[in-house]
Amino acid sequence: MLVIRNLNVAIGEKKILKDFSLTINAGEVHAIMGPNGTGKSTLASVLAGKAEYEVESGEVFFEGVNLLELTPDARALAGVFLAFQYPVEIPGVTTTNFMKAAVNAKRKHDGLEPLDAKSFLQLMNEKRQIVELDKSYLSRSINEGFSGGEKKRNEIFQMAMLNPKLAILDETDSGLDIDALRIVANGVNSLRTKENSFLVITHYQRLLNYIVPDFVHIMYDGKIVKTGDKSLALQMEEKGYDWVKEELAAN
Amino acid sequence: MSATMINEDFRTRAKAFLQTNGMPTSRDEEWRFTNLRKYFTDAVAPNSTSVELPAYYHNCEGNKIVLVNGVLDAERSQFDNTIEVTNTHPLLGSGIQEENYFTALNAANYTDALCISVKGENQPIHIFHIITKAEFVFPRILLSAKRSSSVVVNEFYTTSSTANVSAVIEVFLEENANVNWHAIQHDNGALNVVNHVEAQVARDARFQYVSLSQNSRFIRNTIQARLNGENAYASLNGFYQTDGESLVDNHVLIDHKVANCESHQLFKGLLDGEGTGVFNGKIMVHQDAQKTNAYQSSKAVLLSETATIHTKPQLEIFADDVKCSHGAAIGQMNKNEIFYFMARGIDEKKAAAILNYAYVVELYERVSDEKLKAYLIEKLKKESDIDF
Repeated sequence: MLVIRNLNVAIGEKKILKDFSLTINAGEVHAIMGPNGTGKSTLASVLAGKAEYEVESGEVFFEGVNLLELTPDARALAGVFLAFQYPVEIPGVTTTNFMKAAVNAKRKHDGLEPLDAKSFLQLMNEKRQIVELDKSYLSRSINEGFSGGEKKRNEIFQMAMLNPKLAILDETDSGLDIDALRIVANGVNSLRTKENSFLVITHYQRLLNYIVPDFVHIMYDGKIVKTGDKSLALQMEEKGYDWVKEELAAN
Repeated sequence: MSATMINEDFRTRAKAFLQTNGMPTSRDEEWRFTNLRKYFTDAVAPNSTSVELPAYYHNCEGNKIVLVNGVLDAERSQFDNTIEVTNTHPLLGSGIQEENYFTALNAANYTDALCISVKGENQPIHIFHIITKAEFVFPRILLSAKRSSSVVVNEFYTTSSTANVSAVIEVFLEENANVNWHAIQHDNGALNVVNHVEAQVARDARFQYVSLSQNSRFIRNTIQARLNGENAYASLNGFYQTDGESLVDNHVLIDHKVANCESHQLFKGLLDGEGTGVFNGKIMVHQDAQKTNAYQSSKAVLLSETATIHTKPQLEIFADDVKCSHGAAIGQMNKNEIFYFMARGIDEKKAAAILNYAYVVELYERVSDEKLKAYLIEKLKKESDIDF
């Protein structure tokens, strides 16, 4: 589904991703762990199409299509979803209206008629329950005055509404209390299918108790340095990131 | 309409003022950012004499008053006998505290004033300005809201081609009166208007003003509320949009003369092309005006490299126990917000349209006439390509 080969990315003079490679197949859940400043969020932003990053070399194919040539909205329509680490607040636009525009843009792309008001309401009601989001949040301005946990639940709600093929969760767990973490994880788990894939970027192992990954990658200094199964995450948590640094230095 | 003699005293004084005062230049502090000559010295194009009334004339209910070049068109006006309409009034001219070039120009030149007195609760009053000639026209309006009365006034401008307007509006609110005034300054791009609005607000009275200034060539709104009695309230609001070489200048003054009053100002601009916006918001709190609450907020978004905004908040506070705040923000379209939309599959153009709409609609929502509000928001949605 997603093939990243030797990706090199910089911001200005600073190189962030260095020969980064990763392949994700349909139905797989991959977790990327690593210390701060190692390029995890850059990877998420580059995949979603954020403008300020410069791709110097390498390639990214999503279902055979060169993702790097697509605008961010075209990537979303193709089925890539980014759950933001810091979702923006947008005064004056309700989550309902935002989702109406997004769902109908997707339907138009898929050659479908816009959803009628009743079906749209039904869809929203069904999906908001996945993340236990109260109805009142949907008629409020996007994320305005929301707590950290509410913002992240809103991201997962949007993911559920758009049903992407590949969902990238950029530190969705950071700063969440255990209840919010459980709700977010349950939301993600309920959307797991044989067709959908997830790239879960996290700083902490804790999330992976709830979202069980097929693969765990350790990222350091712009590339993946170690890959294993879920036990690798536990090992990481126990020994700390210094363990990886030392091991790398020894080699 | 009962014909009464025009108050010649105040007209004579205005003529005397004009003998010694010419059209202001940018050396005049009140006109620093606004070059009048650029807009008012153009060769005058011949103007069509037939101007259609705007669609809303046929949609609205209540009192309809049509002013053709500032003069009442009795045939197309309809009002019930609960409001009193005359062509002069004993208070005419007395609502202007400080004469300026344009108030004097109006006073010296207007032909008939539109004077309206209201009592009790009233149906909305819709005033339609129809401009059919290129020479300056001088609408002169006076509203006298009697004790505990309430009324909504909606004002619309329509022209076919170049129009030059110098309007003066005096509003007198007696004790506990409630006036909501909406100036819908939407046009076809040919309107030049200098609009002076001054409200005298008595004890317990509430004056709310909303101007929506779009698609015009030149607009100068001087909006002043003088809070003369305790517990008076004023809320002055405006949205302005400029494009091409158009200019909108809002000069706002709230004059807190006595204690325990409250005032609000919210002005928002959207500036594109080589358009210019000016916001000058003044809050004056006199020494006796203790326990004043006064708030001002000004926001402007620049959509092009060549658009300009001049913002000048002015607080002059002579009392020591007051709450006053002001904020002025100037920004550009927020790239992170656009990206958030695009990351959900919404294209850039649509994202910008939705974000602009959200920014603008806040002022539309301050229109207190529900029917007019729904009509304007529907129109805005259509123009902004919004389908929710």
